[in-house]
Amino acid sequence: MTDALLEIADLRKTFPARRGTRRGAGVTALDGVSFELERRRALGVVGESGSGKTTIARIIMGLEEPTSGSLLIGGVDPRRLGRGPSARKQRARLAQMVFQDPYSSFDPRQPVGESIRQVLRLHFDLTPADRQRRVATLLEQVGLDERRGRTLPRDLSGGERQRAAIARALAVEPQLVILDEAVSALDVSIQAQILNLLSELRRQTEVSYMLLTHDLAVVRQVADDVIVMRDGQIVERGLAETIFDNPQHPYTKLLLSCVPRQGWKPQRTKEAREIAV
Amino acid sequence: MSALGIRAGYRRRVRFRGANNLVLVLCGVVLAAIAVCVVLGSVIAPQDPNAVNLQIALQGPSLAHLFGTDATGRDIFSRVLAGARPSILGPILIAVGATGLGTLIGVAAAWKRGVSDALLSRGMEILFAFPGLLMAMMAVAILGRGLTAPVVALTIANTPWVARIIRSVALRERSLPYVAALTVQGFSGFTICVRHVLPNISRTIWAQLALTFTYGMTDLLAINFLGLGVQPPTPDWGVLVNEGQDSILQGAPWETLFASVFIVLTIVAATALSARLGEEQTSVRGRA
Amino acid sequence: MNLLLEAQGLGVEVLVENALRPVLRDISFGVANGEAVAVVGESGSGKSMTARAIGRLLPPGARVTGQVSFLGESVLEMSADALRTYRTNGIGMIFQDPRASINPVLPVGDFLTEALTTMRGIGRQEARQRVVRLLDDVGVSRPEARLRQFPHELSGGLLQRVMIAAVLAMEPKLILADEPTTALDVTTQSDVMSILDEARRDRGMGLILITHDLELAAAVCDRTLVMYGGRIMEDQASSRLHDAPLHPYTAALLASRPSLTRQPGYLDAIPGRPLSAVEAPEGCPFADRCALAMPKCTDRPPVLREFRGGRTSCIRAETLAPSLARAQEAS
Repeated sequence: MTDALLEIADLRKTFPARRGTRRGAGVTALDGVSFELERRRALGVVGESGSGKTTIARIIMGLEEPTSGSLLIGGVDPRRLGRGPSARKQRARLAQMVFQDPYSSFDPRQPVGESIRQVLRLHFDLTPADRQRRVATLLEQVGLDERRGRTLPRDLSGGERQRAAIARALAVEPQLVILDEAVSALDVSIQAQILNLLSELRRQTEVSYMLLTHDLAVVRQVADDVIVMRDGQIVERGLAETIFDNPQHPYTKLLLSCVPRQGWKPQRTKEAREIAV
Repeated sequence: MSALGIRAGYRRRVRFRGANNLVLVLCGVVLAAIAVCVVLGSVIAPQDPNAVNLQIALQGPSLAHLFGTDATGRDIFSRVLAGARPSILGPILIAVGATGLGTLIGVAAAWKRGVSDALLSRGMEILFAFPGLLMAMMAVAILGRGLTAPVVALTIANTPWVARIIRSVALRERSLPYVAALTVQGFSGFTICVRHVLPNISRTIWAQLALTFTYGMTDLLAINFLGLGVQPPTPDWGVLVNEGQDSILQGAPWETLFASVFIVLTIVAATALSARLGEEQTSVRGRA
Repeated sequence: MNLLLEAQGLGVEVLVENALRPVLRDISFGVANGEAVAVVGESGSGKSMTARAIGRLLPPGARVTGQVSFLGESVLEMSADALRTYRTNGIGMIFQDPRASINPVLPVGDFLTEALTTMRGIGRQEARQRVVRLLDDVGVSRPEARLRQFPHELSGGLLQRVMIAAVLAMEPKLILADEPTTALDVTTQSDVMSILDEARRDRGMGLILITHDLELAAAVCDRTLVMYGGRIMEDQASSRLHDAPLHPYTAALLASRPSLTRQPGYLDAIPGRPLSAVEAPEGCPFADRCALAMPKCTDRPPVLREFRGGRTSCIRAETLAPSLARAQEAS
C-alpha cells in the first residue's frame, strides 16, 4: 500500500476536431501522462500554454473526462463513485481547486463568507452558530478578518480574494488542493504573501498540494517535487532541487534559461526550441 | 506650466448620466400610470364606458368628455381607461409565459449542452419559422375568437426568441470559473442554475420580459384590430382603433387617435425600460 | 541637453465617481536618443497612466498638469495633425493584448501596410516588400504567406511580433511598450523581448518599457524607474538597481520575490497591499508599509532628487543607502 495520494496512469485526452478548422484529427491535450503525488507533499507542474497541465487539473477535478487512462485519489477512482448527491459530495472531499482569476471564481452577488458558508452547509451537519464560527476560523487561517467575509468579491483586493478562495477550498477538508496559476494574476508583493500563506498552511494541515504554474521561481519556492510538461507529455520529473540545480532535459534547460534574473539577457529561442523535442 | 482641462468631456459624462436617469423615471411614471388604469380603469372612469347616447355622438374633446365621444355617443376617455385592462392583460400573459418558458429552455440548453442542447436548439429553430401573427390567426381559426387562442399562440411564438438570448447569456455565465468552483464543491446542476446562474442573468431576463411584452402587445393589437381577438363592446385599445376608423372619415378621429397614443406610449416606455435594463447588465459587472 | 522625450512635473487627475482624484503626481524623467528606460510598478502605481499620458490617450474628463515634450515640442498641446504624426512617426506603441489593436476581419498584411500606404504615401508593392523584410527581421517564418493570414490564425507570440513589425515599419524615434510580454509564455517572452531589443538597437530607437517585472526591466533597459502610488520612487541605472537600490520600496520588492537561486523558506513579504494611486496620501505613499519609515515620511510630499548617480524620493536615502545595499548582498 503506497503512501500515494494521487495516482495517475497513462492519462490521455483528445479533444474532437471542431467543424470548419483546418485540422483533420482532434487536438491531443494529454499524450499518456503518468505520475504520483504522495501525501503531504507539494507537486509543482510546470508548463507553458498548450502543455496540458490545465487539462490534467480539470480531469482530476471531474470537469473533464479523460479519453483513456486511470486516476485514483486516495485509492478511490472518482468516476466510479456514481452520479447522485452523495457521490458529488464524496468527490468534492477528494480534491478542490483554487483558480487563476480570483474575481470570477466567486459568485459576484455573494459576500465571500457566504460562499464559504454554503459549502459547509452542503457537506457538514453543523448548527448555524457552529458554521459561522467555522467560517471565521477558516478566514483567520488565511489571514482575513471576519469582516472581510461579509464583503462582496468586487470590494476585495486581488490578494484578499485569493485568500478567500483558498479558505473556501480548505473548507471542505479535501485531501488534495490544486492551485491553477493561483498567484499569476497577483502583484509581486502580494504573491509573496500568498506563497508564505501556502507554506504556512502546509505546516498546519494534512493537505497535499498541486501547483500549476509557468513561473519557475514560484515552483522553486513552494514545491517538493516537480514535473515539467510539454505538448501533453512529461519531459522531466524529480525533486525540486534536482531539477533546478541539475536539469537534464533540453526543454527544462530552455525554460530555466528564459527566466529573467540578474545578469540575464533575453535570447532567441527558436533554434533551441526546435532541438528540444 | 500649462493646465489643460478636458472640460467638455467632464460635462458630457455628467449630463449623460442625468439624461439616462430621466428616461428611466419617465418610463416608470408612464408605466405606473398605465398600471393604475389596468387595476382601477373602470372604477376611475368618469362615465360608464358602455353608456350609449346617440345625441352626443362624435363630439370633440370637451370638459365633460376629455377625449370626445364615439359614433354611438360613448365617452372615449372612459373607454380608454376601461380598455387598459384587456389591452395590457394579454401582453402580460404572453410576456410572462414566453419569458418563463424561454428562460427554462435557454438555461437547460446552456447547462446540459451536448445532445439536449442540440435538440432544444433545433426545436426552437423550427418555431422560429412560424410568424407569431400567423400562428395566432391559425389558433383563432381552430379554437375560436377571444383572447385565449391568440395569447397561447403568441406565447409559443415568442418563446424561441427569449430562449435564444437566455441561452447565450447563460452559456457565457456558465463558462465563468465560479460555476466550475460550485460544481467542484459538490452542488447539483439544478442548485447552481437556480441559485447562482439565474440571479446573475436576472437583468437580461427582465429586459426580455419588457421586450416580449411590447411584441405581444403589437401582435395582439393586430389580432384585435382584425376582430379575431377581444370582441366589442369590450373597449380594448385595438378594438377602439378599429371602431374609430369610420369616424375618421366623418371628421372625428378622436377614438382612433387617443387609443393609438396610449398604445404607443405603453410600447415606447416598455421598450426604453428594456433597453436600459439590458445595458445595466454589462456595466454592473465592472471589475474593482 | 537634447532629450527625445521629457516629462516635467507631469500630473494627471481622473474622474472617480464624479470627483477628480490625482493618479499621477510630479512625474519628471527624460529619455535620451537611443536610450531604453523601464517603468516598473505594481497595480495602481500609475505606470500605465504614464504611458497613456505620453501617448495623450487619457480617459475623458482627465485633467493634466505639467509638461510632456517630444523633441522639444509639447505633446499635450499638439494640434490634431501633429498628434497623428507623433503617434505614428514619433512614437510607436505596443500594447499588452495585440488582438485588441488589430482589426480581426482583415488579413494581417493589410494591417501592416496600411500605415505605410496611407500616411507615407508609399505604393502597395513597395509597402509589401518592406513589410515582408520586417517580418523576417522579427523572426516570423514564411512572411509572404503570413500576410494573407488573419489575426485569429496566429498565436499570441506571433501576433505580438507582427505588432512589433508594424511599429518598426513607421520608423518611430521611440517605442512605447506597455506590458508587451505579460500575456506570453516565458520562452515566447524571451524571444519577443530579444527581438524588440535587437531591432531597436539596430535602428537607434529609444524604448520605454512598462512592466511589473523588475528583472525583465533590468535585463533589457539601461535605466529603471520604480513607481508606486502615482509617484516615482527611484530612478537608477539598471545594473546598479539590484545591488544598491536607493529606495526602501525597491529593496522590499526585490526581497519579496521568489528566485531560482534563493533557498525556499518564508519570503520577506511586504505587509498590506499596493496602494492605488487614487488613495495615495500627501506624504510618501509607501510609508505605511515601510519597515524603515519615520514620522517625517508622512509629513511632507516626497521630492525626487539626485542621489548617488540616480534619483530617489526617499527622504531618508542618505541614512538608509548602506543598509539597503547590504541587504541585497545578503540575499
